Amino acid sequence: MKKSKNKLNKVVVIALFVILVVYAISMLFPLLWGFLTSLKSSLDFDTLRNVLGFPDMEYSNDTFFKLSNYTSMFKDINLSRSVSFFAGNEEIIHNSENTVWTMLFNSLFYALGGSLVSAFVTMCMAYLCAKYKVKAAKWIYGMVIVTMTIPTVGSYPSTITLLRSLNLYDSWLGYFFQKFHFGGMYFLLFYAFYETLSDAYCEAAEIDGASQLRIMFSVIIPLSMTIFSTVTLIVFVQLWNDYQTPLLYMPTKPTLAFGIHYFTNKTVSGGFAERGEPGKIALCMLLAIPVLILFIALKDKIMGNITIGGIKG
Amino acid sequence: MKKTNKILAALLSLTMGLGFVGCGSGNDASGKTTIKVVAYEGGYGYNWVKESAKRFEALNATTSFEKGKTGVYVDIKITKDTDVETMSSSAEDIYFTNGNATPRDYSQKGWLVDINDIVTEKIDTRDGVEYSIADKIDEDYRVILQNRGDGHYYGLPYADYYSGLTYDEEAFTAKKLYFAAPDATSKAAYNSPYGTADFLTAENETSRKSCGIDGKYGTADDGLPTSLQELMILCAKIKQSGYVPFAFPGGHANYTSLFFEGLWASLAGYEKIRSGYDFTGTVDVVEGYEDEPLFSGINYIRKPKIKTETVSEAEGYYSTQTVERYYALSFIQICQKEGWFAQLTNDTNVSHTATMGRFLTNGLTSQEKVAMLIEGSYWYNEASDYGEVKKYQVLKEKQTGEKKAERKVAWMPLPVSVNETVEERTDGGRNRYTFTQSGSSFAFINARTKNKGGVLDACKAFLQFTYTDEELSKRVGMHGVYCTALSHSVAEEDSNKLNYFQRSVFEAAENADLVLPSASNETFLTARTTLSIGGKRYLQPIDTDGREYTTIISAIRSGGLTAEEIMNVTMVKAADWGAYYQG
Amino acid sequence: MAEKRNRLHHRRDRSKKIFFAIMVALPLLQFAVMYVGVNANSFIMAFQHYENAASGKGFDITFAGIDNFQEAWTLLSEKSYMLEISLTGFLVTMFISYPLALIFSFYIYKKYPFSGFFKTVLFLPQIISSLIFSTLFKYMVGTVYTELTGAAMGFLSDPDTTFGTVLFFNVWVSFGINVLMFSNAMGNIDESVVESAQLDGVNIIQEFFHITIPSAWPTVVSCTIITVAGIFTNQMYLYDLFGDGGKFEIASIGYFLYQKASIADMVKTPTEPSMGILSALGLIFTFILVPTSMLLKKLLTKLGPSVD
Repeated sequence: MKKSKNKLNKVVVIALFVILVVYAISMLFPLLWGFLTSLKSSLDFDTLRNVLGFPDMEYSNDTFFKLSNYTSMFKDINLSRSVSFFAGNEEIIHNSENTVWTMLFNSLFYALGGSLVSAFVTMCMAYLCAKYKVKAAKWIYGMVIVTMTIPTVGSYPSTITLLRSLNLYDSWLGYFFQKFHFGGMYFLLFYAFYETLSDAYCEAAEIDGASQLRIMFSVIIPLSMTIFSTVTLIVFVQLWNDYQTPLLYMPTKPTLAFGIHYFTNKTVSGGFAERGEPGKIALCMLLAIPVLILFIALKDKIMGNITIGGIKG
Repeated sequence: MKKTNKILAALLSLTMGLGFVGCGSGNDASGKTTIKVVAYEGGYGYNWVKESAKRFEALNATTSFEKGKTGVYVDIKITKDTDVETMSSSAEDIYFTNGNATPRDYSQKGWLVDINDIVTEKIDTRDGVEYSIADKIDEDYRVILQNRGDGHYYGLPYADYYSGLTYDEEAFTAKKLYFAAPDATSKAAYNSPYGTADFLTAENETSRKSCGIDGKYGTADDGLPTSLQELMILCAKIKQSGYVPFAFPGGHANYTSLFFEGLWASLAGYEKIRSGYDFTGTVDVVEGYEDEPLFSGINYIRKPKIKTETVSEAEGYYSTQTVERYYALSFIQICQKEGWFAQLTNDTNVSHTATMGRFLTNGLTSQEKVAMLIEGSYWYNEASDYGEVKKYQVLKEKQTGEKKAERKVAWMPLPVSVNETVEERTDGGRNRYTFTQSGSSFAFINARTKNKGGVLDACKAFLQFTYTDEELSKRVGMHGVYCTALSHSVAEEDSNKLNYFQRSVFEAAENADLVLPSASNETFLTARTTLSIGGKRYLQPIDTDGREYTTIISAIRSGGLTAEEIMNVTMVKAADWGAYYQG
Repeated sequence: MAEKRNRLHHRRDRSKKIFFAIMVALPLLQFAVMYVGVNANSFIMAFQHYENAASGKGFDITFAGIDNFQEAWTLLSEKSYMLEISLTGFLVTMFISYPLALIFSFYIYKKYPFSGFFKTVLFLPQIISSLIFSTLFKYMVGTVYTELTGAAMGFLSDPDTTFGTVLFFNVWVSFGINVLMFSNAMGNIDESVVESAQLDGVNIIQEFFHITIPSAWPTVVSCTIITVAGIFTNQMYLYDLFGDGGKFEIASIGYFLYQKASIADMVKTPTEPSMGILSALGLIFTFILVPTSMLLKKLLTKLGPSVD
């Protein structure tokens, strides 16, 4: 009896292992292929259609040995962005010249700042709704669910008009204002965490005479650090890869993700664009590498203890 | 917790600091009136704006548009995101756009400046007669530039491109793909399932190409197919020569629509096509189908039963049922079924620039060779901009030693009948081609500029300047692209700047009647983007299950629809015309 | 004494309420401005009918009652194929993505060979931009595949396999966050329960169904609710895979809405829905989905397996 159980267990584990290996190959092969392609020249890949093979030494000499698709990125990419609009009756003009370095910095600020702000605000709101027995808390929770179901159409022109009139368009202040929100999956995540958190912590602090503010900052937030840092890291990655929001709301502060979208979709002319598909793929690789390193280094932190089980109400 | 506070504080101060980066710009605009121009970064060119701006600035170096300022500085932004939809809060002044709504619609929203004064002012003299910009604009086109209420001009026509085919002249010569004149001495008969025709084997004093669509010998269209049957025989011969007849970008299948529009217009001719815009005249409609084939060698395309009907605005639906559209649809279906589309048309990773590159490097790589490219008439500009021409020249030099080779590709006027070859005109005249304008681009001034005082005067002056005959001519010389719906001549010094392909387009256009997407009746104006020859109704079939197809080719490929079925679902039946009729 | 305590409680309650009010004020203000304020107009538009004013300036706006809703409903019923596609996407998520994610999570939770490595690989689509993955995927199933096998066309271009390939892509990139949450939920299982079950002779499959899944069930329910809520907004990566040109023949409702919204105008045309109609369509979805999600949550929690 025990023998057959062991055998069954072994078979199941091996089967799962095989499936996962296949999946892993399906993930890693395209990435490796992408990297190899980024070492080919446009003539090699696009015109001569050397899709599968090793870079042709006659045509891809520079791109392979001197990594010229990558060096060209830093040398040739100079994105000129400008925007001018009216904030009320005042004319505002923004200009910027952006190299890959500028875009990298913008990405960092955008992703780090945005993730910290939105995770923090979401955390606080979730705590308040979960722990405070106020009717409004239930309404706010309900609102979160409702907003997740409504497909909002045509809000872009209205948002732009609003941001411009407040002079929050194309500005970091405006960006953080937009990020000062709660809602979505992470609200539910924090909410579930706080629901299961014992009331004993708060009660003990109350007995000691601590104010509500004190309780929140000295007791609750430290307890939430693990889940907070996990959420921040996940949102950081999402914002790092987000090209839509910079495209729509921060035109003169392009992030690297926006840069990639720009070069892959808008087929611009000039220097870097002549690098064709391999150049675009090289840019994609550049976007992926920092987060990959970050992820591998902080893997256990990200894969920390979060769950959204047990939602009530 | 304290750490968090510190981080937050640091972030906040960083924000404040960065907020000041990139605000305002002090360049050579100091002391001058600045006007801001946005131009679409597209194949029909944008560098002309910079050149025109320089001339305008020089001309107005001592003019004072604003108190305390002398001269003008034109701040130009070239971009794909012209952001016309957020114009009402934008501080950009002049827009040269691509594919947006008409000035008629934008002025309805109050977004544009009334430019009637500069458009109706006489600015040029031609043969002793004075012309304003309005005088140059095609009569049918004016209404979409004017406001519904006051009838004033609020915008101007901008760029122009035609739909159709480009053929590889070098391949046609090498593989003997030109039709022979009836009296040619060096010719060979070619038998195909679709019929027999004589192709030229040598060109000399006694042997010439056929007269072509224009019916005159010695012109650029000599030797090219004049009927659908000839085109089909040609495709068979092309395949036999190791080429594939047609290519369009796999990643942009909507380009096949360019071919379809061009073909439909050519087959119908200018008057018949305009019936679908002005709702006048007579058309031949499809009533049903016979049980015999339309083309020899093709057993899946039935011959239509034709009836002549009179079109009026109340009975405009007839113009959606015309037989020429059926012919054009049939031809696309035939191309798909006979395998005349290149392999790359199935690969969604192939961009439009890659397709151009493929066409340009015919024979220089081991890739499939393409005889005819389906593209807009501006495509060569894009190929240059994105390095495809350069790559061709690199490969050409490597293989033949020829440096900076000029690629001989040319614009091909499309067939005008199903199976009647065009014969030489005895009166010495030329038959005109029918071209369709596929774009929808305009130039206008943002209403917000009204609040900028003297800047508005400068903007109006600049806009008017760019539409003088001299500037329009220079524009053509730079990009080989006409301003649409505007008739003007081109100075020789400008037409001499055109490259081989641009010149072929230019010369063909001089012998063409252009169908413009505009008409003065309300029925057409309300449904302009639906009912024009390049409209959604025709290009994006919705089948009987309500399934929408993004292009005709995907309806054929993914949906398995036939030309008959597409015809049936895209025509407007009498009972449904009520939704369109604005009488 | 009791009175004093009551007064203390009362004061504390009040101060709690005040604190709550102050703290939620700012985020709620942001919500009011950036969500309600911005979208209010489009909600209102659902009840309005726009016509070009004959004067040439502005629009004649009239109250449309439920006209837009009726037209939106007609549009939806004409495009029933999109509903099918959206629902298929939903079912694939529920019955392929989630079960597979649970199985993979089980492997990781049990720390079987190389689970650390697999954990990283499964999470890759979450880290690396969908832009990159879709580009690489398009090449793999298109150009690379045709070069390798000499096939006429790739999986995305062949009409017979296009939709299946889209679904495959959706599953392929879905595991990341699901595996993360499921494996963590499983991590909360009391080891002593597992040990005693194993001593009782329970095999791996029985353990999976009777112990592991019940523990992860609340998480599964929450994921389901989120998926249900997103049925009509899920674009199924169609934009990433097919770009600006559009692919309406296999459009999901979310994708269709997104594409149409970018070209819609205030005034209705014979073939294009107006903004008002699209807004009405959005509201119809909300009316359907909110009660559905609530109901589903109650149902799943009640009928779901429990650890006991």
